[in-house]
Amino acid sequence: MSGSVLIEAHGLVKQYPKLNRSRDRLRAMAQLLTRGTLSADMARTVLDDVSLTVRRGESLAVIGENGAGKSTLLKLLTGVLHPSRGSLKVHGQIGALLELGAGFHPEYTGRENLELAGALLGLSQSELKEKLAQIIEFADIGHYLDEPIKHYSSGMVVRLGFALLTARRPDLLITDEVLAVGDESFQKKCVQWIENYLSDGGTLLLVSHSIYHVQKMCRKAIWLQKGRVVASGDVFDVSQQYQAYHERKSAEQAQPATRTNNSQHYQLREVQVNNTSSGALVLDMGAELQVKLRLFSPCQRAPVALIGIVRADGTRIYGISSDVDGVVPRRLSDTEFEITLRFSALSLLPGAYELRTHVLDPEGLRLFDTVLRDFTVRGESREFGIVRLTHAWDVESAP
Amino acid sequence: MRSSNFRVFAQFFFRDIKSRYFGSVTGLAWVFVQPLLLLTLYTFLIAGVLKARIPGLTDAQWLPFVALGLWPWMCFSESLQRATAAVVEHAGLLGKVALPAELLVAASVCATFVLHVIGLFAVLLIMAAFGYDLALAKLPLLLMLLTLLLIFTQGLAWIAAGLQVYLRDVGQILGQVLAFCFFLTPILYTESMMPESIKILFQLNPMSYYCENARALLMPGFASSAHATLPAVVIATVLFLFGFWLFRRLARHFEDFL
Repeated sequence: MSGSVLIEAHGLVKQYPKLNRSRDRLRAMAQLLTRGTLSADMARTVLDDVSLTVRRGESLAVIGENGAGKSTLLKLLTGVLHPSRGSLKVHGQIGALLELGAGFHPEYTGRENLELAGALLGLSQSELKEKLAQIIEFADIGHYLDEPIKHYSSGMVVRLGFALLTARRPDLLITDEVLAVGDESFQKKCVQWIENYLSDGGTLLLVSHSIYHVQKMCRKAIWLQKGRVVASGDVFDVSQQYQAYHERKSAEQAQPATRTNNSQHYQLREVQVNNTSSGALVLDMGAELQVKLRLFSPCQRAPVALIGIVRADGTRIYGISSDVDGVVPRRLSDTEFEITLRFSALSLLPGAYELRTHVLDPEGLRLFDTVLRDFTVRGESREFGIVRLTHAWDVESAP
Repeated sequence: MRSSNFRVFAQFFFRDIKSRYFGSVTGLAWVFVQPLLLLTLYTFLIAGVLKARIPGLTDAQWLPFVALGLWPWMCFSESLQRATAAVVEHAGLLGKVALPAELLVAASVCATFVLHVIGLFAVLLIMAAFGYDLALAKLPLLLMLLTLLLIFTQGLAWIAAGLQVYLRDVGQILGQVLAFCFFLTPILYTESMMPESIKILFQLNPMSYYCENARALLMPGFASSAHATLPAVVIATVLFLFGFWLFRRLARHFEDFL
């Protein structure tokens, strides 16, 4: 059975009607009944041409900003919503926990809600009875089971919902930001359960804002933005691109980059990074980074080069200038100088970074020109932070 | 119906019944007390104050006459009103779980019918015990008649409930229309008491069939003047199928409007 397709979606489009005035409702209804779709002026597109395939045994994360269409996508997959266009085939039993509580009714007790939810999942009365003890134990809600759900804390509601799913063990498990709610010990329990479920051949579709959870539990990911798929594929590639986008976005909001250029002053005539002067730069983790600068000096004395690396969000990682290290750029002509800096075995962790190169006057006091260059470090790593520090684990007992 | 669908239906059915006494002091008893109060009021008004006479019936037969017209009407109008709100009431659930929404409406209609049919049978038995002349042997036939009424009502309920999601004033309009229809339906009178000019309304009203035949079955000497059974069966079946079809079609887009 391994490898068989559970979800096959092609060109999914979901449009919601714009209902600003009361008579829009009548118009929207007429359009949907007669043509099955909405006219362009009535429709707000929340998902646009999304295709994906989920095979048995896979684990797929859906990431993206708020309002990117993640929840809408999940609702389409679970059958709560119907696509406006496109084809969707679902094989096998889906267990979904969308938002809080999977449709529990606040007035009814936990037990009563389990009965309805169980029926909706297709659990028979006897199966439910059989698994009730297991569910109660997993949810760990004790005597609250016979109290109305409205008396529960939000964590308890999620626990109950998740516990029901664990009893069912669906072919495909869909969860939407569920892990963000429970307390830490319950989160651990859930993550552990999901990991066991995955290693037993279960299939997972996870929506989460926690890149940590995404990378820990999923092997593939798709990144949605404004209803479209921006990237899909390996979880590390996609989540790194997504993080880089975020880091860049917050950096842009923090300080718009400026570049000064004045021929009367010290200038950076050319900046070559790994022998390229423009375009996307992607490095493997641990590769060499080589920065070659051609400098212009109006006073014919050798200027000072300053090179720094910052993370895409603006966090400074490392910077060094030629005068600190006591190095003088090599003279090419009266006014032109050249210098190269090498980082052999760059120990940056995967992510998006920016290289900042500057030229200063020969005294190293005033900064004149700046050239920025983005680069991405690629690789699979579950380390945390920015750089890999030299380290060693010691587990041998002392002799 | 798949077995899991039946269990979902049963869950909603019992929830609907339970929701009627949730938080209310009078509880489920109110479901029976309210028609009884109406029965007493109407019988007093018509027989006591207005001193109306039904051709061919004695004054003592006013009570079963009104009861057998009132209960089918209550089944019909209350189901319709409750069912209209059923989908919107469960918006929270429908937004999170894929479920056949037609079951929600059906459960609501069936719950109303079951409660009112129990109420009617109880009233009939009590009246028989007090010496009213009722053909109790025909109760199974009355049940069949009410089943046909259920099919008829269910069709309309799907139409109203489906439209209510899109056009929220359906429920309010329906309330007004039903209040109007109460007096156009032979609940407190018979065809022979109507002016000649509007007798056509009696013949065109599908509810005439149910009220008149309920009386014809249970009250010896009463003859129904409503249309024949075949048109009633055709109307009920067509409405049921059309209602189901329309509801399913409308339900595809419920989430967009809830």
